[in-house]
Amino acid sequence: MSRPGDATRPDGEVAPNRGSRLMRHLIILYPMTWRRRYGDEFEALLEQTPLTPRVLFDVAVAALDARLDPSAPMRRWPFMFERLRSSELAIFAGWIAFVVAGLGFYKMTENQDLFAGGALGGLAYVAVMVGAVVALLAVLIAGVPIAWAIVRSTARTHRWRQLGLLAIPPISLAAWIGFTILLITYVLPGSAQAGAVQIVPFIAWVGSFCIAAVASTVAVTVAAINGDVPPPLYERARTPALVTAVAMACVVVAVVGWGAAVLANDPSLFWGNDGFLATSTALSWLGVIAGMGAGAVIALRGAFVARATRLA
Amino acid sequence: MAATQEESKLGDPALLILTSLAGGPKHGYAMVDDIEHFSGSRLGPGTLYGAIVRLEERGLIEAMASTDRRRPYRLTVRGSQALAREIATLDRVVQLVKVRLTGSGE
Repeated sequence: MSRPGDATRPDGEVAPNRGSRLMRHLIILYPMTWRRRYGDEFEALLEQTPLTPRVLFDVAVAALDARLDPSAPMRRWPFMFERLRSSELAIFAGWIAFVVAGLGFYKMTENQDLFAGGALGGLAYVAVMVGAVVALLAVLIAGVPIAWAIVRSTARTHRWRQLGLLAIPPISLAAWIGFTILLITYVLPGSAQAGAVQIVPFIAWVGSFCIAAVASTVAVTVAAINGDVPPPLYERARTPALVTAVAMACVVVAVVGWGAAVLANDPSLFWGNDGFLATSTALSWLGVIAGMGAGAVIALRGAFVARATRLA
Repeated sequence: MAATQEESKLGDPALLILTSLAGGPKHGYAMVDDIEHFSGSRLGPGTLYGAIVRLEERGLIEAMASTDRRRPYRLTVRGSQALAREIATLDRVVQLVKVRLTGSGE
């Protein structure tokens, strides 16, 4: 049997009456930052509270207190919350840049001997793969509950544009896969003999992937900012976000180690033209390091800011 | 009854909220209802949310994902510890008052 105060128990609650509907407009007395955080739930409470002079006075005084109290948490809470959320979204954006550059590394090495850099090179390659998997898992652990909260809030508030934003990543991926199939089926067979012509579809292929990645990142970021995600979910995401950033940094170190091992073990390969589109291996390697390194730096900075940001 | 209600108003809203949440997560209206049930005092919406904001700021309670606009809250570990300390203090005060009122401490 439920107790009178049970949240799931609907009985015992006062149906909204005319006075209560009028009273919910009292919420305008509160500061905007307060309303952004507590507005919906406070309005729901006001709708169920009978209108009496005592209640009117109580709300008016509390609203005045929220506006005047210099230590009111609402004055710094939104800032701290937005800083935490921004830092975690920055980690996500850094991770996307890291993944794009990481796919370049994978493409560069897919036809090479795993042990081109000797045992150390092989070890570094394995470290890259392990680090990438750890970073991916940490992103999923942090991101899935937040994404699910956005979906639930979207269904609750009927803000379907939010759902559209979350649909952009899978749609972008599907479109890119379709574009890839199109290139493989119709473009590449006809231009196989002309190296110069193959560059164009390759650049289009890489470019479309980058556009899809950027579009997905922006869409997820906007959905997270506008979504009704409980702050504790961002707080719980701190540790996996830190794990993501550290794993990314380790992968960058491993990629550097891989290149150094190849240079030591097989200089002809390192100084040869086994990079992207048969360009310099060394330059391609440096490009990958620059891309992954930039992502890792963004993520590390975000992780440190997130660790230092306390909501309570 | 009026006297009892008057006396219960002396209670700190934060303590009442923590006590209510010690029985399980609740949203605002459920807290008001529960607090009235066990204390006889009905908190106004402004008073309730003023205290909720401060308790959340101090990490003593936390918001949960909500299925509708009414967002439930629950005690954090820190909140449980704070409530236990507060109750222990009140308990000592109650014991002292009993001793002094009965005059056995003199």
